[in-house]
Amino acid sequence: MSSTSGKLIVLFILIFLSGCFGFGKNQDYQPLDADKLEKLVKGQTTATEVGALFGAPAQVVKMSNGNAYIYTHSVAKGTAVWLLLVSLANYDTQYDQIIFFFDNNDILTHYGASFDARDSSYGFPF
Amino acid sequence: MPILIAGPLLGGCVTYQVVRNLEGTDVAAPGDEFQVGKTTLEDALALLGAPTTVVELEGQDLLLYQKIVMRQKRLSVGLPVLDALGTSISFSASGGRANYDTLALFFTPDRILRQVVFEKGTSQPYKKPTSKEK
Repeated sequence: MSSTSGKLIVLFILIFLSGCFGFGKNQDYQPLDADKLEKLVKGQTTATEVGALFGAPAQVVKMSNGNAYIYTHSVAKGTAVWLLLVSLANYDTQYDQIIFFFDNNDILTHYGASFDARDSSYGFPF
Repeated sequence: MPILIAGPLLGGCVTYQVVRNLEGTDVAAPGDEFQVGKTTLEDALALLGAPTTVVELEGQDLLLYQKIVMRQKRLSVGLPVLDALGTSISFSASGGRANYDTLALFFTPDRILRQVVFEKGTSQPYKKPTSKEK
């Protein structure tokens, strides 16, 4: 590689790859404690007891045969790169979520839990 | 050499933005473990965990598992040098597309699976048209 070519490559990198890099993280609602699920007994635990353990739900949904309490916690990570002519941004939002199903007497019948918030990651949009 | 000269001159005048927004984890196609009339709500929750959302729909309970991938691209071209003259020329074009992987499970009030609907929208390419002209 000639000296001129090398200088041109360095100049190209300085011009076109100069820019800024940034990243950020957002969280919504309080983290959910999976260990508290062990204290629940289907057919016995009441909605009041669930509320005492987990606090106020983010959402309450009327179901065909009772209610559902939705608890959620989200983690969003964003990555952005601003180059001379091109800017790239990537956002990844993942959730921890627990949904409790109660019958018409407010007794816990089922629940489902997913803990994926920790899998939120920084990255590029390709 | 021309590109090295043009680059700094066009900086701020020509920009190309690529943004991707990912929300939720992968939603797998339902397997043989989901059988209408047999699978219970408890089975589904044990297999898939908490759904993205739940809703009552005409006497049925709907569990919705969803992953969203949104892509946006934008190209902007401007000539700010003309700002000194009190006018400027600019052009921009942008497009976006949101694809959804969705698994919808419908349950009877007795919590028995009644219907399964699945669509894998994220496998669609970004540039594929959403409709065909005849």
